[in-house]
Amino acid sequence: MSRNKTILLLSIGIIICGGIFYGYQMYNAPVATLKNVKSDITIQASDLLKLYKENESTANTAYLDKIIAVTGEIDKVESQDGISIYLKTEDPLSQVICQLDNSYTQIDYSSGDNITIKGLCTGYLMDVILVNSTIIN
Amino acid sequence: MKSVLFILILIASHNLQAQKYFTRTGNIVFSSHAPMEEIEAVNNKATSIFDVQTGAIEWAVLIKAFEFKKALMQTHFNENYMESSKMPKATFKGKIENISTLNLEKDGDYQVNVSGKLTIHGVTREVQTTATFTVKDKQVSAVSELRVLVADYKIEIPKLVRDNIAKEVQINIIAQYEVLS
Repeated sequence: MSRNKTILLLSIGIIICGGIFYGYQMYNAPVATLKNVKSDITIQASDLLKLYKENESTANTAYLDKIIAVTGEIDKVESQDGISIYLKTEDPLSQVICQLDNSYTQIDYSSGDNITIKGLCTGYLMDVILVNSTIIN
Repeated sequence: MKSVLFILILIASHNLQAQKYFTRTGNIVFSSHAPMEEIEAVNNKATSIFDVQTGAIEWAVLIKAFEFKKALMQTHFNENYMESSKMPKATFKGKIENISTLNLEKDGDYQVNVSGKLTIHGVTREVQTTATFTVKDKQVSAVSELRVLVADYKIEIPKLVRDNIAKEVQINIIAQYEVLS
Protein backbone atom coordinates (compact mmCIF):
# COMPACT_ATOMS: atom_id res chain seq x y z
CA MET A 1 0.00 0.00 0.00
CA SER A 2 1.41 3.36 -0.98
CA ARG A 3 2.19 5.94 1.69
CA ASN A 4 -0.37 8.35 0.26
CA LYS A 5 -3.12 5.71 0.39
CA THR A 6 -2.29 4.93 4.03
CA ILE A 7 -2.47 8.62 4.97
CA LEU A 8 -5.78 8.94 3.10
CA LEU A 9 -7.31 5.91 4.86
CA LEU A 10 -6.04 7.11 8.24
CA SER A 11 -7.51 10.58 7.63
CA ILE A 12 -10.89 9.10 6.66
CA GLY A 13 -10.78 6.90 9.77
CA ILE A 14 -10.01 9.87 12.01
CA ILE A 15 -12.80 11.94 10.43
CA ILE A 16 -15.33 9.09 10.87
CA CYS A 17 -14.27 8.50 14.50
CA GLY A 18 -14.43 12.25 15.18
CA GLY A 19 -17.88 12.44 13.64
CA ILE A 20 -19.14 9.50 15.74
CA PHE A 21 -17.64 11.01 18.89
CA TYR A 22 -19.14 14.44 18.12
CA GLY A 23 -22.55 12.89 17.40
CA TYR A 24 -22.41 10.87 20.63
CA GLN A 25 -21.49 13.96 22.63
CA MET A 26 -24.28 15.99 21.03
CA TYR A 27 -26.83 13.21 21.63
CA ASN A 28 -25.93 12.89 25.30
CA ALA A 29 -25.37 16.57 26.08
CA PRO A 30 -27.23 17.68 29.22
CA VAL A 31 -29.58 20.65 29.21
CA ALA A 32 -27.33 23.72 29.22
CA THR A 33 -27.46 26.27 32.00
CA LEU A 34 -28.75 29.75 31.12
CA LYS A 35 -26.01 31.47 33.13
CA ASN A 36 -24.25 32.80 30.04
CA VAL A 37 -27.33 33.23 27.87
CA LYS A 38 -28.72 36.72 27.33
CA SER A 39 -32.35 37.16 28.36
CA ASP A 40 -34.91 37.98 25.65
CA ILE A 41 -37.14 40.07 27.93
CA THR A 42 -36.88 41.87 31.28
CA ILE A 43 -40.06 42.27 33.31
CA GLN A 44 -41.46 42.67 36.84
CA ALA A 45 -43.11 39.55 38.33
CA SER A 46 -46.43 41.40 38.87
CA ASP A 47 -46.54 42.59 35.26
CA LEU A 48 -45.78 39.12 33.89
CA LEU A 49 -48.59 37.51 35.88
CA LYS A 50 -50.99 40.33 35.01
CA LEU A 51 -50.38 39.86 31.28
CA TYR A 52 -50.97 36.11 31.58
CA LYS A 53 -54.18 36.60 33.54
CA GLU A 54 -55.47 39.19 31.05
CA ASN A 55 -54.90 37.04 27.97
CA GLU A 56 -53.04 33.76 28.26
CA SER A 57 -52.86 33.18 24.52
CA THR A 58 -51.36 36.61 23.80
CA ALA A 59 -48.95 36.26 26.71
CA ASN A 60 -47.85 32.84 25.43
CA THR A 61 -47.11 34.35 22.04
CA ALA A 62 -44.88 36.94 23.70
CA TYR A 63 -43.25 34.93 26.51
CA LEU A 64 -43.59 31.14 26.05
CA ASP A 65 -40.22 29.48 25.43
CA LYS A 66 -38.45 32.82 25.89
CA ILE A 67 -35.66 33.46 28.36
CA ILE A 68 -37.06 36.03 30.77
CA ALA A 69 -35.32 38.07 33.44
CA VAL A 70 -37.98 38.61 36.08
CA THR A 71 -37.65 40.90 39.12
CA GLY A 72 -39.71 40.77 42.29
CA GLU A 73 -39.92 40.27 46.03
CA ILE A 74 -39.45 36.71 47.27
CA ASP A 75 -42.58 35.25 48.82
CA LYS A 76 -40.98 31.94 49.74
CA VAL A 77 -38.10 29.65 48.89
CA GLU A 78 -38.96 25.99 48.52
CA SER A 79 -36.37 23.21 48.65
CA GLN A 80 -38.48 20.29 47.52
CA ASP A 81 -37.25 18.53 44.33
CA GLY A 82 -34.60 21.22 43.81
CA ILE A 83 -34.89 24.88 44.73
CA SER A 84 -37.84 27.01 43.63
CA ILE A 85 -38.26 30.71 44.32
CA TYR A 86 -41.80 32.09 44.50
CA LEU A 87 -42.04 35.78 43.55
CA LYS A 88 -44.87 37.91 44.91
CA THR A 89 -47.40 39.53 42.63
CA GLU A 90 -50.43 41.72 43.25
CA ASP A 91 -52.55 38.56 43.35
CA PRO A 92 -52.12 36.80 46.71
CA LEU A 93 -53.13 33.46 45.17
CA SER A 94 -50.75 33.49 42.20
CA GLN A 95 -47.02 33.96 41.90
CA VAL A 96 -44.18 33.67 39.43
CA ILE A 97 -42.38 30.44 40.30
CA CYS A 98 -38.75 30.16 39.25
CA GLN A 99 -37.38 26.62 39.42
CA LEU A 100 -33.59 26.96 39.70
CA ASP A 101 -31.29 24.75 37.65
CA ASN A 102 -29.64 21.71 39.27
CA SER A 103 -26.39 23.54 40.00
CA TYR A 104 -28.08 25.25 42.97
CA THR A 105 -28.05 23.22 46.17
CA GLN A 106 -28.61 26.15 48.55
CA ILE A 107 -29.10 29.90 48.26
CA ASP A 108 -28.61 32.92 50.53
CA TYR A 109 -31.97 34.51 49.74
CA SER A 110 -35.13 34.36 51.80
CA SER A 111 -38.65 35.74 52.02
CA GLY A 112 -38.78 39.54 51.63
CA ASP A 113 -35.57 39.87 49.58
CA ASN A 114 -35.69 41.51 46.15
CA ILE A 115 -34.21 39.39 43.39
CA THR A 116 -33.81 39.14 39.63
CA ILE A 117 -33.92 35.66 38.12
CA LYS A 118 -33.46 34.52 34.54
CA GLY A 119 -35.36 31.45 33.36
CA LEU A 120 -37.20 29.72 30.54
CA CYS A 121 -40.91 30.61 30.54
CA THR A 122 -43.04 27.45 30.29
CA GLY A 123 -46.47 29.06 30.62
CA TYR A 124 -49.25 29.62 33.14
CA LEU A 125 -51.32 27.35 35.37
CA MET A 126 -52.18 28.96 38.74
CA ASP A 127 -48.79 30.67 38.51
CA VAL A 128 -46.36 31.57 35.74
CA ILE A 129 -43.60 28.96 35.78
CA LEU A 130 -39.97 29.48 34.76
CA VAL A 131 -37.59 26.50 34.67
CA ASN A 132 -33.82 26.04 34.39
CA SER A 133 -33.57 29.38 36.16
CA THR A 134 -30.44 31.16 37.32
CA ILE A 135 -30.08 34.03 39.79
CA ILE A 136 -28.82 37.30 38.28
CA ASN A 137 -28.76 39.39 41.46
CA MET B 1 -83.08 21.44 73.41
CA LYS B 2 -79.91 19.42 73.96
CA SER B 3 -80.50 17.41 70.81
CA VAL B 4 -81.04 20.61 68.75
CA LEU B 5 -77.77 22.01 70.11
CA PHE B 6 -76.01 18.73 69.27
CA ILE B 7 -77.32 18.86 65.68
CA LEU B 8 -76.21 22.50 65.31
CA ILE B 9 -72.71 21.65 66.56
CA LEU B 10 -72.62 18.68 64.18
CA ILE B 11 -73.62 20.85 61.21
CA ALA B 12 -71.13 23.55 62.20
CA SER B 13 -68.27 21.06 62.55
CA HIS B 14 -69.20 19.47 59.21
CA ASN B 15 -69.05 22.88 57.50
CA LEU B 16 -65.70 23.58 59.08
CA GLN B 17 -64.21 20.49 57.42
CA ALA B 18 -62.08 21.32 54.42
CA GLN B 19 -63.87 20.60 51.18
CA LYS B 20 -61.17 21.24 48.63
CA TYR B 21 -57.52 20.29 48.56
CA PHE B 22 -54.92 21.47 46.08
CA THR B 23 -51.27 21.35 45.15
CA ARG B 24 -49.09 23.40 42.84
CA THR B 25 -46.06 21.13 43.32
CA GLY B 26 -47.43 17.91 41.91
CA ASN B 27 -44.75 15.55 40.64
CA ILE B 28 -45.31 13.88 37.28
CA VAL B 29 -42.75 11.48 35.84
CA PHE B 30 -43.08 10.38 32.24
CA SER B 31 -41.16 7.20 31.33
CA SER B 32 -40.62 5.35 28.10
CA HIS B 33 -39.06 1.88 28.24
CA ALA B 34 -38.00 0.93 24.71
CA PRO B 35 -35.49 -1.77 23.58
CA MET B 36 -32.94 0.84 22.48
CA GLU B 37 -33.37 3.47 25.15
CA GLU B 38 -34.81 4.40 28.54
CA ILE B 39 -36.30 7.91 28.61
CA GLU B 40 -37.52 9.76 31.68
CA ALA B 41 -38.76 13.31 32.17
CA VAL B 42 -39.80 14.99 35.39
CA ASN B 43 -42.18 17.86 36.11
CA ASN B 44 -42.42 19.14 39.70
CA LYS B 45 -44.86 21.96 39.15
CA ALA B 46 -48.13 20.30 38.21
CA THR B 47 -51.31 21.63 39.79
CA SER B 48 -54.18 19.57 41.06
CA ILE B 49 -57.37 20.17 42.99
CA PHE B 50 -59.97 17.75 44.36
CA ASP B 51 -63.27 18.20 46.11
CA VAL B 52 -63.90 15.87 49.03
CA GLN B 53 -67.67 16.27 48.77
CA THR B 54 -68.20 15.69 45.05
CA GLY B 55 -65.06 13.69 44.19
CA ALA B 56 -64.26 16.06 41.32
CA ILE B 57 -60.53 16.06 40.59
CA GLU B 58 -58.42 18.02 38.12
CA TRP B 59 -54.79 18.05 37.08
CA ALA B 60 -52.88 20.43 34.80
CA VAL B 61 -49.27 20.40 33.73
CA LEU B 62 -47.10 22.55 31.48
CA ILE B 63 -45.41 20.43 28.82
CA LYS B 64 -42.37 22.70 28.54
CA ALA B 65 -41.71 22.28 32.26
CA PHE B 66 -40.80 18.59 31.78
CA GLU B 67 -37.07 18.28 32.32
CA PHE B 68 -34.99 15.59 30.62
CA LYS B 69 -31.41 14.54 31.31
CA LYS B 70 -30.50 15.00 27.65
CA ALA B 71 -31.06 18.37 25.96
CA LEU B 72 -31.71 16.83 22.55
CA MET B 73 -34.49 14.63 23.93
CA GLN B 74 -36.11 17.65 25.59
CA THR B 75 -35.98 19.58 22.29
CA HIS B 76 -37.43 16.69 20.26
CA PHE B 77 -40.13 16.06 22.90
CA ASN B 78 -41.28 19.69 22.75
CA GLU B 79 -40.79 20.52 19.09
CA ASN B 80 -41.39 17.27 17.20
CA TYR B 81 -43.71 15.13 19.33
CA MET B 82 -45.74 17.28 21.76
CA GLU B 83 -45.71 20.52 19.72
CA SER B 84 -45.75 22.32 23.07
CA SER B 85 -45.62 25.82 21.59
CA LYS B 86 -49.06 25.19 20.07
CA MET B 87 -50.40 22.97 22.89
CA PRO B 88 -48.55 24.00 26.07
CA LYS B 89 -50.68 22.06 28.61
CA ALA B 90 -51.90 18.57 29.37
CA THR B 91 -54.97 18.29 31.58
CA PHE B 92 -57.08 15.73 33.36
CA LYS B 93 -60.65 16.40 34.50
CA GLY B 94 -62.45 13.61 36.23
CA LYS B 95 -63.99 12.10 39.29
CA ILE B 96 -62.98 9.92 42.21
CA GLU B 97 -65.74 7.33 41.86
CA ASN B 98 -65.72 5.99 45.40
CA ILE B 99 -64.91 9.26 47.21
CA SER B 100 -67.09 8.18 50.16
CA THR B 101 -64.47 5.58 51.12
CA LEU B 102 -61.89 8.35 51.62
CA ASN B 103 -61.85 9.48 55.25
CA LEU B 104 -59.50 12.45 55.60
CA GLU B 105 -60.04 12.51 59.36
CA LYS B 106 -58.47 9.09 59.87
CA ASP B 107 -54.87 8.07 59.15
CA GLY B 108 -54.54 5.32 56.56
CA ASP B 109 -54.19 4.36 52.90
CA TYR B 110 -57.27 4.58 50.74
CA GLN B 111 -57.43 3.09 47.26
CA VAL B 112 -59.85 4.90 44.98
CA ASN B 113 -61.01 4.55 41.39
CA VAL B 114 -60.56 7.57 39.16
CA SER B 115 -62.05 8.17 35.72
CA GLY B 116 -62.19 11.17 33.47
CA LYS B 117 -60.94 12.95 30.40
CA LEU B 118 -57.23 13.18 29.71
CA THR B 119 -56.12 15.80 27.18
CA ILE B 120 -52.63 15.51 25.71
CA HIS B 121 -51.41 17.06 22.45
CA GLY B 122 -54.87 18.51 21.88
CA VAL B 123 -56.53 15.07 21.92
CA THR B 124 -59.03 14.19 24.66
CA ARG B 125 -59.71 10.60 25.67
CA GLU B 126 -61.54 8.85 28.47
CA VAL B 127 -59.19 7.13 30.93
CA GLN B 128 -59.58 5.09 34.09
CA THR B 129 -57.05 4.35 36.77
CA THR B 130 -56.64 3.80 40.47
CA ALA B 131 -55.01 6.09 43.00
CA THR B 132 -53.89 5.63 46.57
CA PHE B 133 -54.58 8.49 48.96
CA THR B 134 -52.59 8.48 52.19
CA VAL B 135 -53.68 10.40 55.26
CA LYS B 136 -51.11 10.87 57.98
CA ASP B 137 -51.27 13.48 60.75
CA LYS B 138 -53.86 15.46 58.73
CA GLN B 139 -51.48 15.55 55.72
CA VAL B 140 -53.02 14.23 52.51
CA SER B 141 -50.96 12.76 49.69
CA ALA B 142 -51.80 10.71 46.62
CA VAL B 143 -50.02 8.50 44.13
CA SER B 144 -51.26 7.14 40.84
CA GLU B 145 -50.08 5.63 37.60
CA LEU B 146 -51.37 5.82 34.07
CA ARG B 147 -50.31 4.07 30.90
CA VAL B 148 -51.10 5.77 27.64
CA LEU B 149 -50.60 4.77 24.02
CA VAL B 150 -48.65 7.45 22.16
CA ALA B 151 -50.70 6.84 19.00
CA ASP B 152 -53.98 7.51 20.87
CA TYR B 153 -52.93 11.14 21.27
CA LYS B 154 -51.81 11.57 17.65
CA ILE B 155 -48.17 11.85 18.60
CA GLU B 156 -46.18 10.77 15.59
CA ILE B 157 -42.84 9.10 16.13
CA PRO B 158 -40.53 9.08 13.06
CA LYS B 159 -39.53 5.61 11.78
CA LEU B 160 -35.87 6.34 12.49
CA VAL B 161 -36.41 6.48 16.27
CA ARG B 162 -39.29 4.01 16.67
CA ASP B 163 -37.06 1.56 18.56
CA ASN B 164 -36.02 4.35 20.93
CA ILE B 165 -39.50 5.34 22.09
CA ALA B 166 -42.07 2.94 23.58
CA LYS B 167 -45.52 2.71 22.01
CA GLU B 168 -46.99 2.85 25.51
CA VAL B 169 -45.59 5.35 28.01
CA GLN B 170 -45.93 5.33 31.76
CA ILE B 171 -47.04 8.38 33.75
CA ASN B 172 -46.44 8.36 37.51
CA ILE B 173 -48.11 10.98 39.66
CA ILE B 174 -47.38 12.07 43.23
CA ALA B 175 -49.13 14.91 45.06
CA GLN B 176 -48.86 16.41 48.53
CA TYR B 177 -52.17 18.21 48.95
CA GLU B 178 -52.92 21.27 51.07
CA VAL B 179 -56.26 22.59 52.23
CA LEU B 180 -57.60 25.21 49.83
CA SER B 181 -58.41 28.08 52.15
